[in-house]
Amino acid sequence: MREAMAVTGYIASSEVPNIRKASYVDVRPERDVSDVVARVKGSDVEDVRQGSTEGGLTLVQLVLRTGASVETVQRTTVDVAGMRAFHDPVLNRVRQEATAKQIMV
Amino acid sequence: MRILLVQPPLTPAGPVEPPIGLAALGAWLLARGHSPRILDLELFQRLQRVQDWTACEQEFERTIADFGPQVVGVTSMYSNSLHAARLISRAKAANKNIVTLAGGSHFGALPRQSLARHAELDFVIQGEGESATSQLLDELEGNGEWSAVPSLAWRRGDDIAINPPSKLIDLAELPDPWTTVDQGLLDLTAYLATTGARPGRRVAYLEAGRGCPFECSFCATAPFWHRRYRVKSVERIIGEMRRLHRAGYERIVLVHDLLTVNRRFVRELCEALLDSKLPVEWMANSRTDISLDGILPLLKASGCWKLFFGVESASSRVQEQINKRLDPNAAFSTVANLSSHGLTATCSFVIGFPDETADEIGLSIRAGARLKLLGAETVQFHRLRIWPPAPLSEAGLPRSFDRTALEIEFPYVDVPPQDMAEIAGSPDFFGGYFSTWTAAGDAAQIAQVEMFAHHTVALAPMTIYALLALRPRQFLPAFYTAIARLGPLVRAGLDWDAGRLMRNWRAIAPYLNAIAESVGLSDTEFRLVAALFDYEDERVRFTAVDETQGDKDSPRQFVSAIDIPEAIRRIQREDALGEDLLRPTAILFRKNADDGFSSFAGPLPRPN
Repeated sequence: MREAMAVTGYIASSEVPNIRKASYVDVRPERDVSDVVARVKGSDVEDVRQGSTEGGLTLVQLVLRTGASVETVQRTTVDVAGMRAFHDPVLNRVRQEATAKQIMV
Repeated sequence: MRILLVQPPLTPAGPVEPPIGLAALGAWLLARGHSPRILDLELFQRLQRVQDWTACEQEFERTIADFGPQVVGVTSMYSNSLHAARLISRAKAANKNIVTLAGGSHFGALPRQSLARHAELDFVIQGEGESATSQLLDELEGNGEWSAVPSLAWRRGDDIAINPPSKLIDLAELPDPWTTVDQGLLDLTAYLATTGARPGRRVAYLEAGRGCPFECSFCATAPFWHRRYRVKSVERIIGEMRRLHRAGYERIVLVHDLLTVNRRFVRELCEALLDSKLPVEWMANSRTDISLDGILPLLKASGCWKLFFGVESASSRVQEQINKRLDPNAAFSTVANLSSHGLTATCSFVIGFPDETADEIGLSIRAGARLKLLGAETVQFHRLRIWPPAPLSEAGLPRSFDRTALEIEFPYVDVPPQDMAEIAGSPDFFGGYFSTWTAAGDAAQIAQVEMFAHHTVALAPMTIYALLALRPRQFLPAFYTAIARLGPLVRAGLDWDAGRLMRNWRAIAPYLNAIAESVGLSDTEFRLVAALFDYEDERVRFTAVDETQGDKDSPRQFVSAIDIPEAIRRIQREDALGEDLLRPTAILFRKNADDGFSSFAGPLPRPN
């Protein structure tokens, strides 16, 4: 057993077969969250663990190569220009940080 | 033998989950050649859409006439054991040759008193029921050697005999409880019809195992299972989950007193669930001192959405006193860690332990508010209830009848006067409805704290946190003064599913205001608390907009007198709330297409 970094979340089911060939994949931290994603280079993915599929989204755990980088990409809409999103846990459901996490493999 | 297994009514409203205890027992008896039938009067009553005990009794009698059982076995908790006893009497009245049997958390914990109180009750089984029940049925068919049946309490002449406990079964021997569905003992579609939940949120319970090795003094469940940790196999649990998912359930509560105590098992379960590609979510019980570091991403990937933690108290002294011995700070790091992995938590506190002070209760409420802001989905407050065989039930503590404790749990909205009198007159048999003395307040006051803390932490955690952080010693006395001045909170006036937020907010907000005005805050402190209150008032009104106006008031923009994002960060880190937070901030709430909400903050627009 060893430690590794992994990104866990949801991607379009059609992208699953080509994850490692893709220039990058955007992983949603939650099924219903699209305004923030973890962006991973396909070549940085060492292993893909595939979970359940529902509504065109598949739950995946991407185990990353040592030294891989993960970008957190946040999208903001025009109507809130000049304001920054903040997380009020009473108002918003808990959602996973769009980052790589340490796992045991 | 033909045995009718009966679940009396349990709750006045809400979804009814398939009875996993009776399902396990039914499957066990089926596998041994007996003919069980399950009558779930909780389900019957909900499907009838009317609370009617007389109708339940009539259904029970119809079933006896139709099925002709040789044995009637009734399970019960303390809240519905009066009804269980009445069913036992009805069974004997219908046919005096019917053998009556009781088990479950009340009669099973107090077998001698149960037999002494109820002349029509023939046998009681203590603790785990499967093996003892099948052995009893064997003896009923055979030689009637009652002394040969482990865990059995029975009448020997004028005496009551209690046999030594049975050896705990290997859970691998338990047949699949859902064979009872195949055999027509349970109809899962009928249970699903009571959920009222939207697709994706339909919850069923699944017994993952039994037993907790810890020795908390207030806990009746751990000694019930002899404190031995047992768990079903991973394959078995996933098989049962698959069955429930096929029936229409998408969220599974894995019932086990402390599933995560075996980290290797949890890892194997998650790995197998991920590989199974089963689209279900699940939750289970854990402890804040059990490290899940390194496997939280796996929990998330396997569909875990939440863990339950009995935090009990934020006081180290109380933790020692109740033999739980958790580091109160571990709850914060655990919930924060879960949140960062997209997992949430239910955190449960108990208030009113013997000798617990008002300051210690305040510490727990403050911790609960902080946990809510760290990402706990629900923070519960329960006043102490002492049920046998919890070690505390044998401590001889002075106690007095706690009427509202009974009213909370009774299976009907109103407690009939004769039931109230019977329970109030039986402190030894209904001990959990008798409160022990506490230094923090009398039973009625602690009941008020329970309600107020539960709802205020849910709706206004920042305000209540600030009041407790700024004036910890004055908080509870100020609340008691507010109750005296405004009148008590009325349980029936609150929505306990938190579905009607404005109703709850209107009930609790006057007490928050009264406390803020009477705890001796400085002008700056008062402005801080008032600004947090105003923000939380806006948030409640925004999220409750459907309830109040019938349309979508989104987006909602307003000016807060305080830097809310920074205030949240400080509460999460337990940093001081100072005057520097009083910076007017523009806030925007927006309802998202997926039913969630977004929140934004920024500087005020410059005047033209």
